[in-house]
Amino acid sequence: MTVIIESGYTLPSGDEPLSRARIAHSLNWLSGGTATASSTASGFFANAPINTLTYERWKPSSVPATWEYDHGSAAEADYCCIAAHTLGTNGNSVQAQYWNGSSWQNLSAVIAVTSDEPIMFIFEPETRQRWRISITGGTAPEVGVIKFGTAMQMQRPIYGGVAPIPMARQTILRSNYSETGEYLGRTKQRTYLSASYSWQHLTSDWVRANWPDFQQAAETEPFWLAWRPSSFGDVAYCQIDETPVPSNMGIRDLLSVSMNVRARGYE
Amino acid sequence: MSEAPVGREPIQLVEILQPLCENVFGVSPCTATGTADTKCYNTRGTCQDTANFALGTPLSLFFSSGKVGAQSVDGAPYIFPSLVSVSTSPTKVNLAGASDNAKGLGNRALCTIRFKDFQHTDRLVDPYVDGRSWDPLSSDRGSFWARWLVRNKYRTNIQVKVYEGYAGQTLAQMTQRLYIMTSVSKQNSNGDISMECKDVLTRLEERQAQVPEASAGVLFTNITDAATSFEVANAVQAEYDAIGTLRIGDELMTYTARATSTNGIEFTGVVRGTDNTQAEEHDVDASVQQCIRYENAEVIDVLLDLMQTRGGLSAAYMADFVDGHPSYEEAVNYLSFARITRLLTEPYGISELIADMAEQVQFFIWWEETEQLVKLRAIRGFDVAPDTLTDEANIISGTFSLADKPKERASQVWVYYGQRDYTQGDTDVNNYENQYVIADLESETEELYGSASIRKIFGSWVRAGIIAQSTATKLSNKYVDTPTQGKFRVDIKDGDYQIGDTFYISHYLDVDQFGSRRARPWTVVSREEVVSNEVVEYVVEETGLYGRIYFIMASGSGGYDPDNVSFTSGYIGNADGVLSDGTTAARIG
Repeated sequence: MTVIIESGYTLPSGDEPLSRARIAHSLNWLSGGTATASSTASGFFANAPINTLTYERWKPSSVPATWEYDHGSAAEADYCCIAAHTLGTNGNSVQAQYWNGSSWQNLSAVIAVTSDEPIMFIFEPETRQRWRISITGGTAPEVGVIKFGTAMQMQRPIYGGVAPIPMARQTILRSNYSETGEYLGRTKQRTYLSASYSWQHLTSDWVRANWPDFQQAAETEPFWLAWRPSSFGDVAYCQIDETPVPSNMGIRDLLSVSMNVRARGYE
Repeated sequence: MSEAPVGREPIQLVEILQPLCENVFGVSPCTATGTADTKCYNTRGTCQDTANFALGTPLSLFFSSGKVGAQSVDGAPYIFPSLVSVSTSPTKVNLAGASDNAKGLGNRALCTIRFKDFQHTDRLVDPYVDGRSWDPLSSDRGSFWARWLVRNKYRTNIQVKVYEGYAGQTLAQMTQRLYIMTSVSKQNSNGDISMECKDVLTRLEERQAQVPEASAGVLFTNITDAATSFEVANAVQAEYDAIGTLRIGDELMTYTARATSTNGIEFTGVVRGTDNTQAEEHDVDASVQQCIRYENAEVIDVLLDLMQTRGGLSAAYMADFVDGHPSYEEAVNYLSFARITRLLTEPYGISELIADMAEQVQFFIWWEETEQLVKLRAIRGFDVAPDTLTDEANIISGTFSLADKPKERASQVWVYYGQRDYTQGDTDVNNYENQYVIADLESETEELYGSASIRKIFGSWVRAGIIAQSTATKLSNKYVDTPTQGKFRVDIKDGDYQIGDTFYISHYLDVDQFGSRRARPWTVVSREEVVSNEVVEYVVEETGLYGRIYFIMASGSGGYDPDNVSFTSGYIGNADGVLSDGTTAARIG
């Protein structure tokens, strides 16, 4: 489960319930700040997780380790997302925290990470300047992308038709057979994860207020998507090949929108 | 046989070993000055103090396809996910110099690597990135490859390694092939980059390596046909050997000393008109060419001198030619009878010289990419029991083919040897004292092939009749009938056979006149992984006619025991040439 919800989380007034998708994209995450780390192994970069490139990574020299994002001024966030990491492989536990001016406060419990699937911490909104993740246990992991921000909350839930993203593997398989039909060998090539998401009955006001930002963000940067955080831990760090365009359903002022995403494989 | 997993996930990485200056901009000994924005990139193309440019450890840039870049590979911490494909055209050795389509040393291994261009942070490739005032990711700062190509203007001869392995392996566990970058082409606005690489033996090709080097010296004055000392201008002493042979015009002469003189260099102790040439008068400004003489030399020594000492190949690449290593042992065991002689009186391409030698003495050399070694193997019979590849257990369905090579048939082999005058053409039959001929005239009759096919070999390295005889015999044995070449593919699990290895093939398409399978020995002349770490394509030549090698056993050895016999132990057969269990006995010949 890589959706990690703050202990004792209370849904803020006016927020959509956690049965609705949460999307972290480049126009709702904090940017423009600086990154520091407790240590950085040779060949890796402390500020690599600030951009969305998955092949540039931070790796601490040892654990326990922390990676901090200083926004420069106080700003609100209700999520922390992590992608392109090896926290599961390296057997780490992770915790999101913020600085209250005198000490680090927890945004989550210490969570043992069991896979390298993208992570989305969800917590009650905090307005702070400094944020960090704290890593304990296991061996030094690699982390490609870390973002703090305020999530886009879809207005309607998704009821069906969603493939669990961890299993949506697009794997190419090839086999060799001898002249007489004997099995000689098989090759697989893992590529990426592929899934479709569709929402119905979105009000015109909601779409006009929220969707254009998402379109612009998704055209330039990858984004995280947790399609039903209250029930499933599935989180995708994904991109689109085509901008999702809302369509009028012909029912009052309701619209629908769907998109095909291509998510980064992690195992 | 390898233990490659039957079900597997191949991984391919490319490493570019970018030359890098070990100095720091503006820090002694580097005297360059400038702002943070005008600093160099520690490459020769961007250097602002070339006098103090000092190559250090190269910068390793790893590339892979996105799916691999998303994974971690131990040993390659930073992987650019921009690799599109790696395609190779394999080394193809020219057995016995028979193929007109594979000149010289055979076909060089080529490697074409395609990349996609991308925006990049300049981390890793710019040592001063943190100080610059711009963001390299911004769209007005160019892309990775656009910048890299400018910064690395002098990129030919950069080493490029291709790693092939399986998911979960470390870099060190993967197979690696070494190439030399020769060009980058097809950079276009679609973001495609195509990089051409060749194997290391490319450095020996004619345009890159000539021996002897052209001497710059010219006669300072006219000399008579009896002069035993003279001065040479336009050159320095170090350009000529302390003792050696010179060529002026069509005359060869030896000298016993040379020293710096008033007008350049003075040669003394000169013996005129050596090596079957005539002493002549020469005019001022005539070129004075240093010659290289090999006299009754071992093949392995000449190869080392040409490739390593004069051709500049790294000693590491030639390690297999050192005493105790396989190529050295091969030469000692199978080529030591062939002492070779030649006087090089003008510049020749090293690859051409070696190709001539290989044809005349019957061996082949090739670049073994995975071991990163130059290898040698004599043309000979096989001395270990070959494996058998079958259409049931090894050969991939629909990939097997056989083809005749009629142009390579030779009903007569003429070997000219004992070159008279090394200043004259080495393909002129009148310039050789001796000729050895083997002819199978029956094969030229109407009932058989209906025409002669004459193979002429000009033995520019050969003085001894034994070499000419050996070469002619091998060629005649192999090529009196139209040779056959086979091609097929196997799964990577059966892909460990390398160039020069021999195996039997049992396939339903290769049968005798009665339709029975004939398991013939074939030798690998080309190996290519047509799908990386998945499918290997072999090109093989039928080499059974070179025979099987036996050794005469020591006195007192036991009698023939079919259950306990070494593959190379030679036993005398009965009058029919067979042993007690019907096995064909060894034969001297």
